[in-house]
Amino acid sequence: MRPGERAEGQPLWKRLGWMAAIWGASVGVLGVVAMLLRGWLNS
Amino acid sequence: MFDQADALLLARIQFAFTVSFHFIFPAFSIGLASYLAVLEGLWLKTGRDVYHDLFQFWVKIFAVAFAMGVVSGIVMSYQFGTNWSVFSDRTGPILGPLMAYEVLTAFFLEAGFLGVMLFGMDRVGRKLHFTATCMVALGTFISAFWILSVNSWMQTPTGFAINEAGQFVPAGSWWAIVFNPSFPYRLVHTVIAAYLTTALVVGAVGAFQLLKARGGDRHVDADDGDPAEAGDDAGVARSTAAARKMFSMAMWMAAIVAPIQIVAGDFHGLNTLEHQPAKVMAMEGHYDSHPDGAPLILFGVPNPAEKRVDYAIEIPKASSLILKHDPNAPLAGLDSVPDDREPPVTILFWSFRIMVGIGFAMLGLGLWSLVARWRRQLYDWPWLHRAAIGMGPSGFIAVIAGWITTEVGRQPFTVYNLMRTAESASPLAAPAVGASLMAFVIVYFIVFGFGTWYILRLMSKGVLVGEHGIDDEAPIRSAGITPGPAQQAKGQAPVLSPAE
Repeated sequence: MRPGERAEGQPLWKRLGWMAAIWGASVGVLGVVAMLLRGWLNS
Repeated sequence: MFDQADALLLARIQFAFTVSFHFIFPAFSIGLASYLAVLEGLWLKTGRDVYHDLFQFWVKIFAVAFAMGVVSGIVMSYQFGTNWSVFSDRTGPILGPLMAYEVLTAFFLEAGFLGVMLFGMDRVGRKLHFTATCMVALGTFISAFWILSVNSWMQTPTGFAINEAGQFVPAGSWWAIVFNPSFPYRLVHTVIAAYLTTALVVGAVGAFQLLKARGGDRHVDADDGDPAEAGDDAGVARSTAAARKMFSMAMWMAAIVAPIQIVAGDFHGLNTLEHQPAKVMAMEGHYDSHPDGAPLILFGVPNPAEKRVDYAIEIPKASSLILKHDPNAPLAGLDSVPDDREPPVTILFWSFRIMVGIGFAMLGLGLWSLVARWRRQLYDWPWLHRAAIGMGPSGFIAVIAGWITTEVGRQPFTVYNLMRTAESASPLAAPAVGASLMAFVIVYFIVFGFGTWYILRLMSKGVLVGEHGIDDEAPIRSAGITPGPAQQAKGQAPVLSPAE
C-alpha cells in the first residue's frame, strides 16, 4: 500500500479531525515550552 | 577577564555571533520547505516514487534544521532585552507588533503544520498532507516577510514620529512602516538567496551520492539492513535515481535562479545607493568622490588610516556605469560623509566581494551544468559533481557575507541616521556581557555542532527507499528511468538515461 492510501479510505471529517488534532498538539507542545520559558524568565 | 573590554563592542560581537549562527538555519529551511512542497506536489501529480523518496529524505533534515533555527532564534529575542534594552524601549512601538506577527506565523503555520507534515501522512491522506506541507512553506516565507520588514525599517525608517519619551511611534499608516523603501528589494534578494542556498546543498548531496554510486560505495557500507545500503540492486537503482533527480533539480535552480539573483542584487544595490549612499561608498571602496565617472575596484586592500584603497585593480568608470547607468556620471565618495557617520570600510569591502564572488561562482556552476546537460553528461562528469560538492556550503557563506554587508553598512546606527548603536545598548558592565558571550560560544558550538553533524550524517547516508515494497517482477520506473532489477548487476552503476 502506498503512503497515505490507508488514510484515504477514511471519511473526510475523520481525516480533517486528525489534521486538527495533530496541528493542535503541535501548537500545544510549543505553547507549553513557551509558557515554561516565560515562567522561568519572570521568576 | 573582560574588565578592560568595551561592553558595547562585546554586545555587538555577541549579536553578530548569534545572528550568524541563526541565519544559517532559516536560510536553509525557507528554501527546503518550498522544495518539499514541490517534491510532494510532483509526487501527487506524477505518482513517481522518486519524489516521495526525496521528500522522505529531506523532511528529516528539514525538521532538524527547523528546530535549530527556532532554538537559535529565541536567543536573539532574549538579547533585545538583555543587551539592547534601550533599542527595544525606543523602537518597541514600531518593531514589537511586526515581530509579534512573525512569532504568530512561526507558531501557528510553521510549527503547527510541521507536526502534520512529519507524522500525519497515514492519518490525513496525501492531499491534506500536501496542504500541510504548503502551509509550512508559506509559514517560512511569511516569517521571513516580517523579519525582513523589521530589518528594513531599521535601514530605511518611514511612517513614524518620535514621542516625548524619545520612542519611535507609528504615525499615519502601518503600510508605510511595513513596506518601507528598502523592504521589497531586501525581501526578494534574501528569499532568492535562501532558495539558492538550499539548491546548492541539495545539489551537493546529489553529486556526493552520484560519485559514491559511481565508485560502488553504496554496496559496501551495509549496516542497518536498508535495501539501498545492503546491496539490494533495486534499492540501489531507486536511490541512484533519487540522487540524479535531486542533482538535476538543483542544477536547474542554479542555472535559472542565479542570474535572476544577480539582477535582483543589482536592483537592491541601486535602492541602497538612493537611501544609504555611505553603505555603497564603503562597499565600493570609494573614499574619494569622482565627478567624472567612478572606477569599479575589483580588488585591493582598504587603508582606513590613509583613506585609500592600496594595490587597487580597477575598471575605469565601471562603477558609475553600474550604479548610474552612465560611465561619466558623478559619484560621491566617503569624503562627502562626516567621519562619525562612516561605516567600517574594510569589513564592507570584503564581505561584499565575497557575496558577489560566490554569486558569480553559482552562475558558473549553473552554466556548467547546462553544458553537461547539453552534452548528456550531467550524471557522468565527476569534476562537475566535485564542483557541486565544493559549492554546497557556498550559499551559507554568501548569505552571511550579504547579511554582514547590510548590517555593518548601517553602522554606526541601529536606526539609520536616527539612533546610534552606542546609544542603543543596555547599561551593562563589560564582564556581564563577556560572560554571556563566552557561554553562547561554548553552548552554540556544542549544540549546533552536534545538530550540524547529525544533518551531515543524514545527508551522507543518501536517499533510502520508502517503506512500501518494490515489485521485483516489474521494472523500476523512477523519473523516466527504466532499469529493471535484473539489469542491475551487483557492484555496477545503474543503467540510466543520460538526458533526464
